[in-house]
Amino acid sequence: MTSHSTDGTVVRMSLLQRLDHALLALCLLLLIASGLALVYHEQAWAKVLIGIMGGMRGRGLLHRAAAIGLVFAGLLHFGGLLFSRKYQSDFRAVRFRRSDFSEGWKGWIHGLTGKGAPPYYGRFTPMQKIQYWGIFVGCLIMAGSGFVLWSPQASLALFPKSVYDLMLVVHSEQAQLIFVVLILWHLYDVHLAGGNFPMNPAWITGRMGGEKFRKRHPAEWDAMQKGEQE
Amino acid sequence: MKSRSRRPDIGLILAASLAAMLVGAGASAAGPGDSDCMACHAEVKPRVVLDVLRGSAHEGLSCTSCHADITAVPHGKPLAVDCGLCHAKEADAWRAGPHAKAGGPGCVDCHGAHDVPKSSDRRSMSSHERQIEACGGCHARLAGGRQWVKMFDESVHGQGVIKQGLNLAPACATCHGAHDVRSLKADDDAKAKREVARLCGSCHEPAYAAFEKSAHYKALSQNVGRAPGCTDCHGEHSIQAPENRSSSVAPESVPATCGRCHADKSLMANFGLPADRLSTYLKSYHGVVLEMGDLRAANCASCHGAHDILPSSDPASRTNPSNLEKTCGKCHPGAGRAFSNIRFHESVSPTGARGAWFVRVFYTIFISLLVAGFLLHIITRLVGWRRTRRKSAAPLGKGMEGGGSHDKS
Repeated sequence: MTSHSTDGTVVRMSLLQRLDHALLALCLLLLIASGLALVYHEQAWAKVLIGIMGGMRGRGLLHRAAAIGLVFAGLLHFGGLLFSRKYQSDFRAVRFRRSDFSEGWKGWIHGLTGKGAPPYYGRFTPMQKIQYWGIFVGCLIMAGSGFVLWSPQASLALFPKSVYDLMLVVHSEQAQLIFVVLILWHLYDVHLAGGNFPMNPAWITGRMGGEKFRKRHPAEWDAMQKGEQE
Repeated sequence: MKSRSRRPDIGLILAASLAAMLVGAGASAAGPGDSDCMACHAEVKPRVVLDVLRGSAHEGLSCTSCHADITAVPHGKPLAVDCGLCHAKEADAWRAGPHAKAGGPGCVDCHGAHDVPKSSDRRSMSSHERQIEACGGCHARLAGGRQWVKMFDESVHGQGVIKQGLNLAPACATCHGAHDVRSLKADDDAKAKREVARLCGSCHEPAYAAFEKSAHYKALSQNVGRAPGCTDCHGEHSIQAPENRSSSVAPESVPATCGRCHADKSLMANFGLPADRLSTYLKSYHGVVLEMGDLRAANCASCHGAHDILPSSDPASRTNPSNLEKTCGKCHPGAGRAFSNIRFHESVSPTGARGAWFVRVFYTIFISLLVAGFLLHIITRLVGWRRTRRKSAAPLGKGMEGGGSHDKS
């Protein structure tokens, strides 16, 4: 449950969530850098990156180390879902609802034309939900395909090479999908868009100003007011 | 066979003739002896130092052994010395070779005139050590010759002779012959390529024995001139050891060397072979890692072998399914039977790995749509931001909130 604080701010992320998010962000950035450098190895920037990572061997080691970090972040997330009330509450709130479509459409029209009522978003906007589930499913796909690619000997003992080749394509394509969703879209939103420059500090402080929260997540704000009155 | 002799000074000849007449009694009925010759040629050109002659390969021969046309002194203009009188085989070879035909060097140019050390003697220009210098001296002046000579000097063979003084390393005559000076230019001549292979094999026996069993040699035996011989992969004068990074058969260069033929669509079509072997390799992890400089990565020869390359359908081939476990196991110690069923060099295409191709097409469309959606998202936000800024009545910052219906926490 999102809660008020005495200073008027709203708690958006618990300490565990922030640590989990920081670990996820670090590992994904390392994975994307070391992975896309391999996919685009012919490009000059990729050669520079591979050089910085200590050549192909260093790149491979870094990629695998970051992959272990990502799995750990995933385990932390699932642990939170099992044992943390904040995680469980957020997980319920991040599920898609039918209203997400109508509110999302309303929000888009309002943003583009200024006409109509502003959207009545809850704890998470439809775009945030898309990003969360995109990363959630994306990381599962990346981890699954990544472990198949980890050791050719072990994988080929279990699967035909066509599966290995398929996983290779899935891994590299899904990485580019994550790059678009994460690096371009999510980072644009939290760093550049909507008065967030240079960044929305919630991922560090875990808090958001009450007034800003009321405007961005009015449904959740109203629910909180109602809860407090009761 | 010609010998280069200088035109003697007429005055000196007259003086020498006079002197010879005075000592004429010394000349035997069989012809002049060495002392008769030296009576003049110690001073008269061409001057001869008899000691030099005595220390040469021709020690024991008299002047008239070579200058056989001089039967008495004084003598007129002598005929050219015919070395073929004794060295008939070598002279015949020389006459048939390009040096004789092109008016190139004769015997004395390489062997010397009076001072003719044995070819095993380092003083001889025809010795193993010095023939590079002797041949190179002229050939560097021919068109493109300087490059040849330089390439050979820097090659593993040239360095073996020049730097290490190895008799085992070939010098010019080892391959081209001393007197017939064969060109060895094979181009697309299968027979000539087989000859070159035999020549290389005279030193590189195991490689030749393996090559004789290969698909490439089989094609040469069937007079397929485009099939590769030794020099097609290793080069000619520029041959380097595979350990040398400039070698055409160094690990990082092997794909390009093999690819010269195996990526040539028209050539491969002639033999009914696929032309995508290089492109599929370069896209594979092996290809990528090798290109990035990790020489442990498998190159063509790691799997197919070097000299004994056979089609994978041949049970003796390293890439025959029954041998893949062993071949792959060289680098992948845990390689099991699963490796036997692998289809290599498969491209991600509708005709190759179709499943992977379908997934790639799906992702390409999906990512394109996402990028389009992202651009639309930015445009929406910028439009909203500009509109709210124009509303001067709105307090600073509020416009951002109002316009940004997708604002994120």
